[in-house]
Amino acid sequence: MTDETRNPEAEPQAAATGAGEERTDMSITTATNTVMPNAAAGDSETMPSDTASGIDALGALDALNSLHELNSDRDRMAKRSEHGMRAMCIHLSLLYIPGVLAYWSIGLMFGGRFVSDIAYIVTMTALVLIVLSPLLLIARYRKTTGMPAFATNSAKRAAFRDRRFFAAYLTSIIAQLLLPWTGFAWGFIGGNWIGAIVLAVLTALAIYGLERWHIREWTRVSRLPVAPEEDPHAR
Amino acid sequence: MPDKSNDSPIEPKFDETIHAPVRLRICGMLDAYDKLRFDALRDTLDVSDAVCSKHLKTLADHGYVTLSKKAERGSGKGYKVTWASFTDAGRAAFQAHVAALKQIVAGG
Repeated sequence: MTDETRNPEAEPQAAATGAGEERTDMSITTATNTVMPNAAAGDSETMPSDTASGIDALGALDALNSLHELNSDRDRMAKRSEHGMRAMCIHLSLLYIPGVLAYWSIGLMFGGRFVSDIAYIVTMTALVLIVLSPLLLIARYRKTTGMPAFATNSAKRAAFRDRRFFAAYLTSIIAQLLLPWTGFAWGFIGGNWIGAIVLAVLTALAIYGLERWHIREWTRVSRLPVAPEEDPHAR
Repeated sequence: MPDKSNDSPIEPKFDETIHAPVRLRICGMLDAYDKLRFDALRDTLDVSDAVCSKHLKTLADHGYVTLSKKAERGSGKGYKVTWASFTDAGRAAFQAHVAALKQIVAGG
């Protein structure tokens, strides 16, 4: 790594990390007492009950802080992911304009409006490039955010159990697969180019709206806390 | 709310390696996103390269994380970018550790 990328607050942070490790030592003892009470049964017998409960409270606070940190990180990462996905969403939607026009041309061909080898080759080449271009968007997303575009981990699978997220995901995918075919249908019945452009713009807008919904839902689900935060002193 | 704890009961187990604050946060992020680039981890943790690298190495030494270096376009000639991904052992240990933390908070 270069010096330019180095965090100027490295020393205090490193010191903080060291302090964190010391904190770990303290909490391990406490945590062991709590999670494995048999292991520390002898110690707790010799300890005054007030002191023991104080150490327990400190252990609980330490654990609560750790869970709070995990929740905060989830929030930060969700924002980072959302930012990258939004940028990708705009470009993806714009791709549907030439995409629908290419489908319209193919519709015209299948409808017997024009048959030409050159037109066929040009249209098919354009369509292949349009279909493959999302790969560039995915690569760009990875480069911008440092995250994989398609997480296949258990957290992602768990997100599908959320009804709202699942509905947004499914609707968005179905729209992306089916809406371009309206261009094909328009071409097949011999629709003119003005109609094709209007259709392409409407399709892009619809997909943009649905993708934004999908991104909002994904952000909501990925921001859900690891554990609900409770104050141990509340009891 | 999707709750992974419903999949199968997780045995709470306190893990000293994971509990260090920076390592716990690294594990939390990897649990959510599976695989992350070094700079994404470093920026989110708001720590220096050295600190982030040290903790990743500790996790890798314990078999919790796999580190891979890949050359990326635009990152400079011969410059490789590190990606960290969770191993199955790492994920299991993290989930058991979080369950232990929850148990501690609950006073169990």
